[in-house]
Amino acid sequence: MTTAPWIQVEPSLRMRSEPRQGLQLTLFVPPHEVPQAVRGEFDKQLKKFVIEIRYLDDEDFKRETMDDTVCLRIGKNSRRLLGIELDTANLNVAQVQFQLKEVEEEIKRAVTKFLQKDQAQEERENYALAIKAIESKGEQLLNRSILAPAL
Amino acid sequence: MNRKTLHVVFNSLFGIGGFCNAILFPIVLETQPDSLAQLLKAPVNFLRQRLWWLWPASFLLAALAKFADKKICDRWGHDAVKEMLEILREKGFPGNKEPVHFHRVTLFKHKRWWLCWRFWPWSGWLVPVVRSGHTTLNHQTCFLAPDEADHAEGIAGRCWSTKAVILIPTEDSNMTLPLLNPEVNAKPHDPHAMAEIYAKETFMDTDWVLKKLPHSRSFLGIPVVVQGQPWGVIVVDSRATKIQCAKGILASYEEIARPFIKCLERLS
Repeated sequence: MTTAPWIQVEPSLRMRSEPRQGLQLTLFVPPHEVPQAVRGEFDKQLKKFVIEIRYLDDEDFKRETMDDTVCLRIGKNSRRLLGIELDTANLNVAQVQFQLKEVEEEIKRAVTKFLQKDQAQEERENYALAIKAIESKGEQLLNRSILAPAL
Repeated sequence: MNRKTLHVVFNSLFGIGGFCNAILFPIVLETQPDSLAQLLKAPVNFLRQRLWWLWPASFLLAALAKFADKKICDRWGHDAVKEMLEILREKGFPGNKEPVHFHRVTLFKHKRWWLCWRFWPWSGWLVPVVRSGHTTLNHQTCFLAPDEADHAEGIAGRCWSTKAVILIPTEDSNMTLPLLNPEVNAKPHDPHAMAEIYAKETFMDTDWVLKKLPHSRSFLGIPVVVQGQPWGVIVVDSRATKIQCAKGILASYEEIARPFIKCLERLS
C-alpha cells in the first residue's frame, strides 16, 4: 500500500497544446486518458518500488509481467497504464546511487514490449502521456529511495 | 423534515422490516408458545395469529422504505452534479447576461434500454439526466448510441462512440452552423438545404432537424468515464456561433472531475 503524496502533473502536459484538426471538429485528448498525478514509493509488502499513475477516475488493475524487473498495472476496463512495479533487486542500478535514466529506459522498454503484445492499444496516446508524466516527475518520484530500506 | 432525517427514518424502517422478515417472524413461526416463559407467551401468540398479514406487510415496508430512500434522499447526488454542471457553464460563458437556456450544459447517461419511440428500445441510448440552470429537461430528447459507432446520433452520440472531446465549430474555423429558427432568421433561405447542412455537421437526421429546429449553433462534447468504463457524455450547447472558452471548460472539468465522478456512481 503506497502512502506517498501525489505529485500533480503540470497542466501543460495534461492539456494538449496542438488540437488535432478534423474537417469540422477538433479532437482533443480525452481527459480520462491523461494522467493527472503520479507517485512512487517502495512497497514493503510487495518488496518492489511502485509508481502509481492517477487519472480522473479510479479503476481496478491487473498485472502484466514484462520481465524479471518490470510489471505493469493495466486498467481492467480501460487498459490504461495505471502503474509500474519495479523489482529493485533485479534492477541493474548502482547500489548507492541509482541511475534515473536507467530506470526510465527500463520502463520504456517494458511499455514498448507490452504494446507489441497488445497491438490494439498501440494507437492510444495514454501510454506515451503516462511515460511523459513519469519522466517529467522522475527525480521527485525516485528520490523517495527506490531501493529497499534494508539494502 | 430534511433529507438527512428522512434518510435515517427510511433506513430505520428498512432495518425493522428486514429484521422482522428475516429473523423475528421465522423464529416466531418455529417456536411453540407452550415451551416459553409466561412473559413471552402473550406476545408470541399475538404475533403468530397475525403472521399471515404481518409478514407480507413487513416485506412491503422494507421494500417501500428502500425505494423512498433511493428516490427522495439520494437526490443529493443529482443536486451535487447539477451544481458542478453550473460551474462548467459559468466557466464557459463568464459574465454572460443572456437567458440561462441560451447556453446549457447537459449530462447524458448511456442506457442500453430506453423507450424513445424512434428506434428499438434496446438499441443503446444517451438519455439526459441532469442539466445546468432551471430550464426543463426533456427525457424524450435522447440520442441513439448503439454499439455500431457509425449509427450514433448527434454530438452526444459521436462523442460517445469516438470517446473523444468534440468541439463544433473549431476555434479557428470560419464555419458557423446555420440559424434554423424562422422567427429570428432575418434572411430566409431554403429551410431544407439549411437543415441538411445543420444535420450533416451535427450528425443528426435532416427530418429530425426540420421537426425540432434546434437553436444551438455551437457544441462541446466531453466523454465521461467511470471506473475505466464509458458512462455517458457532457454536452455544452450554445446559441452563440462559437464556444470561446472550450479549453477553460475542459480545464474546469478536470478540476471537478474526481468528486463529479464519485457522485455519478450514486446517480441512478
